[in-house]
Amino acid sequence: MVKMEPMPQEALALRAAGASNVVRVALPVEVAFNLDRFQKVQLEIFERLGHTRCVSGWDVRYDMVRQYVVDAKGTVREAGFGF
Amino acid sequence: MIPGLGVGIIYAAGLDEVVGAGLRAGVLDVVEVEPETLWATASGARREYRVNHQALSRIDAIDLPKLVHGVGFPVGGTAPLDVEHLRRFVEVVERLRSPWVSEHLSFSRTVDRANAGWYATGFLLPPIQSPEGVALAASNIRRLQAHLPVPFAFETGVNYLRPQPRELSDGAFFGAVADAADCGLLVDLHNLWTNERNGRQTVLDAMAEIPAERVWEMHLAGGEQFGTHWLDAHSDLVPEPLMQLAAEVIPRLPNLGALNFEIMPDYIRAKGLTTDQLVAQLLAMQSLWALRQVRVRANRPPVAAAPTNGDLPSPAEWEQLLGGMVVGAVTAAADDGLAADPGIDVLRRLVEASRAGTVVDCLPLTSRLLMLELGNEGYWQLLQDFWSTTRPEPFGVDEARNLGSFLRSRELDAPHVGEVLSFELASLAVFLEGKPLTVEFSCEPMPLLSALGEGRRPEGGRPGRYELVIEP
Repeated sequence: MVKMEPMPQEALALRAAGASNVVRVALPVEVAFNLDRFQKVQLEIFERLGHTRCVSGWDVRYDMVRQYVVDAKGTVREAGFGF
Repeated sequence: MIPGLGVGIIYAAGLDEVVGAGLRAGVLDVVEVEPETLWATASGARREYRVNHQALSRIDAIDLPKLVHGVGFPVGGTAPLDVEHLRRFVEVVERLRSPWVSEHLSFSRTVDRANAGWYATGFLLPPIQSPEGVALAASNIRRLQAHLPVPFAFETGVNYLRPQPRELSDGAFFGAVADAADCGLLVDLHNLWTNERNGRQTVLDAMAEIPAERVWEMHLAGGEQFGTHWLDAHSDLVPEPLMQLAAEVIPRLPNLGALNFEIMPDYIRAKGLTTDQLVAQLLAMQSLWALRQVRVRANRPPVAAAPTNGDLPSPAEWEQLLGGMVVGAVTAAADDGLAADPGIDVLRRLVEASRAGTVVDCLPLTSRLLMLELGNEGYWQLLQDFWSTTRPEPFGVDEARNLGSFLRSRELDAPHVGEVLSFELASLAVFLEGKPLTVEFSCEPMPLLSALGEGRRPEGGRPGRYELVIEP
C-alpha cells in the first residue's frame, strides 16, 4: 500500500518580505516539487518529465493518486486501482 | 563477438534499492538504461533536450557493465530519424560504454492524413508484417547502424491485435528483419508469451523461426490480465510458466549476452513487492543464465521472407490507419477487420492510462485540485476532452504544457486552479531552464499548495496579493 510522506520541513522555511501590499515569498524549485507527498521525487523529477518508459501495460500512476485523494469531508476515497 | 554479461535489470530511479541489494547478493551482473527517460524537452520552437547528467553520473557509478536500450526512435516505421535525438543517444552510449544497443521493432509516430504533419501515437505500435515491412525496417536499421559506435539489436514487440490475414508470422517477420539488416535480436520473451496468450503465434513456434545465433539479449517480465487480453505491464515477478519457457529456450541461444528483468517501480509500490522478492527473482534468473551453452556460431544464411498476398496495406497506410484509430483520429469502415479487433480498444485505453499517469506525475497538485473539486468522474471527463483535441506527446513535460494550454481555455469550477497550474508549469520551467520565475496568488500560497500536496481539499487561505518566487 502507498504511504503518505510527512510534509518536508524545508517547505515551511520560506523567506518572506513585505513590499507595499504584496507579500513575496521564495521557494527553491526542489521544494516546489517536493510538495507532493505521494512521491519521493528529489531524484525522479527528470523521470517524470522525460520520455515514456518501455512498457506496454496499464499505467497505474493515476489510480494510485486517485486512491489517496481525500474528499471534502476528510475521508480517503478507497477507489482502488486497476481496471 | 557479443560479450556474455549475465543477469541484469532495467534501471529506474525507484529501483536503486533493488540494484544495491542485487549487487550485495551477487545476483546482478548488468544494468540496462533507457536514456530518453533521463531527458526532457526545453520549451521553445526549436527542439532541444535537457539531459539529467546527475542521474547519468549516478548510473555510471554503479560498478557493473551498462547496456543502453532506446525507447524514442523505434525502427519499424516510416518516420525519419531525429538527428538531435540520435546525437544525444550516442553520447549516452559512449559515456556508459554499452557493448551493444537496442531499440524496438515498432512505430510510434505517423502522419496525419489531413495536414500531412507527423504526430506521436502515444504507444509503441506493431508494424505491418509484410515483405515491404521487412524492407522498411531493415533499411531503417542499416541507416541507424551507420551512426552507432556499437552493434545494434531490435526488440521483438508485443502485439495486441489479431493476426492480419496473409501477414508473416511473428517469428518469420522478426527473423527476416534481422537477416536483412544483419543485426542482433533482443527477444522479449514476455512479449512473445503475451502474444501467444492473446491468440498470436506461440513462443516456441516464434523462436523456431528466429535465427537463434542472432539473439544477443532477452527480457523477462510479469504482466496483468486486462479484460480479454494479457498485458505486457512489467507489473510483477516473472510467472512460473514463462520461467519454464525461458529454461527451454535459453540453451538454444549460442550468443546470448544478457538476460534482463523488467519491472515498473510504481507496481513494486502498488503491489507491495519486497526487495527480497526481487533479489530472489534475479537469483532465479541466474539459474536460467547458467543454462546458456556458449557456442560461437556464425549467422546462418538469410532466409528470404515468403511472398505474401499484395492485399496487405503498405507500411505508411498501416501506420496511418492503426495510429489514427488508436488516438481516435481515424474511424475505420465497419467492414474493416481492424475496426472489429478488440485489441484496438485495449490500445486506446492503455494510451489513456499512460497519458493520465503522465499528467498526475507532471502536474500533481493541479490534478489533485481538479479531482477534489470536480470529482474523479468530472476530472476524467475533462481529461477525455483534452485527449480528444490534443495528440499524445512522448515526453511528459510536453504533455503537461499541452494540458496547461487546454485548461486555460476552459471555464473550470475549481477555485485557484489557474494559480496552481501556473505554479506547477513555472516549476517545470525553472527546473529545466535554471532561471527564477514569479507566480501571483490571490491567497496565501503555501497553505493552498501544502493541502493539495497532502491530498486534502484546500480550505480558504488568507486572501491578499502574494507573489511566490520559484528559485533554481
